[in-house]
Amino acid sequence: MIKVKKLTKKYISIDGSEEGIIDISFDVNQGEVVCILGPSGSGKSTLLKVLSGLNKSDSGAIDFEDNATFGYVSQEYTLWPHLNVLENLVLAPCLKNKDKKSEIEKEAVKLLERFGLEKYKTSYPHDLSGGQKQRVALIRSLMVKPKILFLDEVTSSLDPELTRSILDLVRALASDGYTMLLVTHHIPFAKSIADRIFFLKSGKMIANESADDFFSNQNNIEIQSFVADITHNYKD
Amino acid sequence: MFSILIEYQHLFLGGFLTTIKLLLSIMLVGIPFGVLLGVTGGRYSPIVSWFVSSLRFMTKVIPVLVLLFWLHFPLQAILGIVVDPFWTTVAALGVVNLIAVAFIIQSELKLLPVSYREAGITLGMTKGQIVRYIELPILMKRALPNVLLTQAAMLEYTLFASLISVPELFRVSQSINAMVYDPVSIYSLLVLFFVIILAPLHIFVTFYKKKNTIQYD
Repeated sequence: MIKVKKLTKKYISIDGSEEGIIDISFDVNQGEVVCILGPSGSGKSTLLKVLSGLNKSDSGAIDFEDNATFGYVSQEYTLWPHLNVLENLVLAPCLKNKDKKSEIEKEAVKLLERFGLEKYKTSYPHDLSGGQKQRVALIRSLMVKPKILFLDEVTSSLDPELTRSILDLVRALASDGYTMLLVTHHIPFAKSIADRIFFLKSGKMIANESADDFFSNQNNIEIQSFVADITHNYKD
Repeated sequence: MFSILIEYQHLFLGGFLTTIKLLLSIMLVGIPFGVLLGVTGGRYSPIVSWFVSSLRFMTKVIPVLVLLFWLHFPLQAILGIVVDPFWTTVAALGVVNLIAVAFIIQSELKLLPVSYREAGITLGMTKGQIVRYIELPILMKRALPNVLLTQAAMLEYTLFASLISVPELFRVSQSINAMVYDPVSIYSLLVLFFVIILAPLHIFVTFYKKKNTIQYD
């Protein structure tokens, strides 16, 4: 479904160091859930931004099979503050299909109902909790009918209780069959959801393994230590 | 008080029209060009941004009246030209307005989170749609109150034009007072004029801010 070959994107970070991704290659199959792990500054977010077209790569190639559409949700709150929840959901699809506004609205309400957010449809983002904002952002990304979801640390700014509600939603989407690449620091969640794990360090992919192998048969001491540290830090 | 207004209505009306003409000209210079400069500085050019910020600093440290007098007397003497005081006022206050508006727009654009634009891109919106449906409405809601308050300040600054002989409302009031000497009535009328124009504006801005406050996360 996604074929990535020798993808490179470098940039200078605020502290003056060079960051990004270097010569990354991988394939992702339809319906596969891939968790991307790695220390800060390892290039995880850059990889998702390049894949989603927000950043241009310096070199390399990305192929999406059958012109697959994708959704992207970042760690920042991105709901548009001047629009209510329903307006946030329907704006982009309605601009593409102006004559189908009522159908699109019905679809948005259905999704809100499915994820227990229907009572907030006329609320504005500033009235929502962080977890609710992220859930709405996830639902908004579904409104353009993506086949692939790129999720970049969608729980990073949330407390454990709110994190659980997001993770449940992501689990539900995985069981719906979405192909997903997600950056997370939540190891138990990654264990429970991932088919495959990418581990990045200093912009390079140093592991591309099935989740079982990654967590159960890990020989790389650096990865073992990272997983142990992060499991300890992100306990809920 | 109102008998003076009726008796000298043609003079008051002339002053009123000159003041309004001054204000509209200042707005015409300041708002469109200010928005253009602000957008350029806030989105496209760090040099323009620096230029706008520097000019903003200059307009803060140089009193408007001093700028107006400098344009009216020394500059025209240096250049050997004579410009109608009305247009000198438009130039001075228009530039001050332009810089203030540019600074407001530029600052708001810089505060606008990039993630809003990114969300639009990933949802397949075009650049034009993002500007029209996301950035512009947010910018309007956040910048409009300050732009309106700046225009209110410009109306107050038009009083300075009387000092370089522009026959605006204050100058006309002084002339009428020189003829009939009734400062209480005449200046009370002036107070009334400004209250009628500026009070609704300030009330509108207060309510607009309350209703349309947009806080970024």
